[in-house]
Amino acid sequence: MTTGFSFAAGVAGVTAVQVVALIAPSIVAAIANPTEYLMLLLTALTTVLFWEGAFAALRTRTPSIHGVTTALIVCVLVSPDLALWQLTLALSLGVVLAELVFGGRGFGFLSPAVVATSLLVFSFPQVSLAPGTTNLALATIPGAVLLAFLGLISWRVMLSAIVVTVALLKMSADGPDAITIASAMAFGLVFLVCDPTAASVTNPSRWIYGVLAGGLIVLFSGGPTLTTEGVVFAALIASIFAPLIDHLVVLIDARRWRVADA
Amino acid sequence: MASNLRHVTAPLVENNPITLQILGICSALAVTTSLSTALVMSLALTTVLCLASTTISLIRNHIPNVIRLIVQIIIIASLVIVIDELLQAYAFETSRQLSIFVGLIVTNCLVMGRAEAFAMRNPVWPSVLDGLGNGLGYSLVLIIVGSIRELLGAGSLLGYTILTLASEGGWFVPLSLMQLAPSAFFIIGLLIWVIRSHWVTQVEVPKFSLKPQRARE
Amino acid sequence: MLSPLTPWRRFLTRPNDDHFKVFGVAILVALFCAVVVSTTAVALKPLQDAHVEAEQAARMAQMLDTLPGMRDIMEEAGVDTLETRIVELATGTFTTDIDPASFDAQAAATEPEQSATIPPDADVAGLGRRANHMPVHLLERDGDLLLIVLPVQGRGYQSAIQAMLALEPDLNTIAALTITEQGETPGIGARVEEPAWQALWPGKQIADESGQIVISVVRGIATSPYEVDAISGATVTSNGVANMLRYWLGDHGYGPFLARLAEEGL
Repeated sequence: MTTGFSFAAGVAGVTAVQVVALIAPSIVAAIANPTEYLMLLLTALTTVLFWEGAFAALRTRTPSIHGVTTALIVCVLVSPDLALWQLTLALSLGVVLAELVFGGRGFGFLSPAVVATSLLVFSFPQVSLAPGTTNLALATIPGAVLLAFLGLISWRVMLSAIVVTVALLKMSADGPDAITIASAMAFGLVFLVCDPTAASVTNPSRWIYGVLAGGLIVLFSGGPTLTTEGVVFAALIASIFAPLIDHLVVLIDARRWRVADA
Repeated sequence: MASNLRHVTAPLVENNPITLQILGICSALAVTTSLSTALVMSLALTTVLCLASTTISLIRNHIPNVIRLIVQIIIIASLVIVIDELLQAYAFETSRQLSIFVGLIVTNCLVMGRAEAFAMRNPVWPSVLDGLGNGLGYSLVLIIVGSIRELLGAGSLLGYTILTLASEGGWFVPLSLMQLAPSAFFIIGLLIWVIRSHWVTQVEVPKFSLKPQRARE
Repeated sequence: MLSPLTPWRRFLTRPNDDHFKVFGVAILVALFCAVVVSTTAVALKPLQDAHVEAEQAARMAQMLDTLPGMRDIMEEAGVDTLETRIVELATGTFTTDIDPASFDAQAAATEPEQSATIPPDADVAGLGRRANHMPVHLLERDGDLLLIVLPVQGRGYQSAIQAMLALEPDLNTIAALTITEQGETPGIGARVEEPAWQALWPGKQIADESGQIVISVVRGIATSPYEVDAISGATVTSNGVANMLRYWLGDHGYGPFLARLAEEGL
């Protein structure tokens, strides 16, 4: 982490930066369907802050506001006609099971937004997520640059994931052009796959992690057009493997050092 | 007698085979989509467990140490086949739903675990009670998980509609997630959480802990 | 002092690490268990077989009930179930060498001598192998075929799908399709088992006028007699069902049999 704060200030700082990065994509989503988006956002914020508060009370700590980023990400991902109770349910499960039971932001190994959206899709087969648009992708870029500049997301992951996805889709005869592919996955890639608590943390494993995520995105989309569901599931499976990839890379490095020492 | 009764009551919650020893998880995931399959599986496992404990305890003094695991497996496997055949003959529909999982009681660590840990070194009566207790502990978890999954996933219990589905004119939208295996993991995880918040002694010592924060120089 | 139990007592008093005792205990336990298991299996076999038969009959009856007027015809013909015959798929002829009551097509498909590898280009249903013989169920009156029911298998999204396909006497119009076994995702692919979806199939045509098999599932609304609506959200499963029909009615499946039937009759 290049931000030179102490641990606690660091986590709050990360949340603040992520919120800043999420403003532009949220505005894009809000302009498309203002009323629906507002209702979704209000519900989502109430839900996450309720659970943050409940767990803070349970563990006698000061409540945190890290859930706000989860709420913002999920509100961009879901389709505007989602029933509010379904959003509440999915967000509650995601925030509680993926983050709060582990002790809060940074202690879990999955992004709560990924868990919330995948549980939403698993629970309600009729629900579909909003497909990524070019506008959304463009709005993601400034935030991505900011996050990458501060070292919160890794350009290695982004690059390898995009290259693998584009390459795989191009191999299957009539795939769409690279720009369409990149814009369909941009938001999910930056805010789900690259999530700082869920992605790999050593440089070699970031490449592997990105390749894995890119391949899974194609696999789970199940066709030439990328779906948001595909990106979410890819992020879920890839982040489950992230600690393993890190562990293997560290093992190999340790062996190399031992050989060098001897 | 009171100490004998402990063999039955202890495995129910305090020393539950699923939530404390994390044994028998495989079948707990697979057969809990509805309460009726969970009940039949519980019954089958408890029966096998009791009978296996009895048989093994009866001949425990004559089982040579070098082949004790093989002898235990033969006895358990035979009991499982007999139970499976009985189910196919008298509870055909349910045996279809349980499919391979009755057969897999053989590989359920719980049965082998009790045989090896208890029945091999205790007289018959405590062994039977220990088998019964562990069977009931397993059943308790299966029934809880099965009830939650069937109620939230299909709106019914034992096949009787409790919550009328939206597709049939009611208000309840079933959670498909509950019919998929991962939900059993979540429910068992939450159960373990509840139990360990109450019985704090069950909480495992963390392997790693964060160092106290130091001021940077 | 020499009672018949003495050798037994002596055996039991041997130390547990004695070789003779190790072998003896192993053999005795194995023997005892074998007797228990085989006795149960043999004793309960008739009951289990009755269940399996009842289940098959119930499926068939359920399928016949979905066909309008079929019950009346059967009553008129004085039969209460369909006649089952075994077909040799490669030649399309009936064979009497195999007893229909005991024939298990699923088991035969895994036996190298009783099955054939499906050439990859013909294997649209993703089966890999199929049995050389299949049971077919017929309803006839005075030598005229009234209904033919063909068992078919295919692959869905995550499981094998088993179904019964009933054809009208023209051998091209679907009379009914019943999915008898599947393990698709509950709430999504598993909806192939819903009667509402299976009710879309009757009346559909399998091949066009040139004899090309064209039946398929389409997203959205079916517009021709060769199309059936896919289940929304379960395209892979729906396509699996269509591919299953395309394979089984094709040249490597029941194709030769249906062609012979159309030419020569029963």
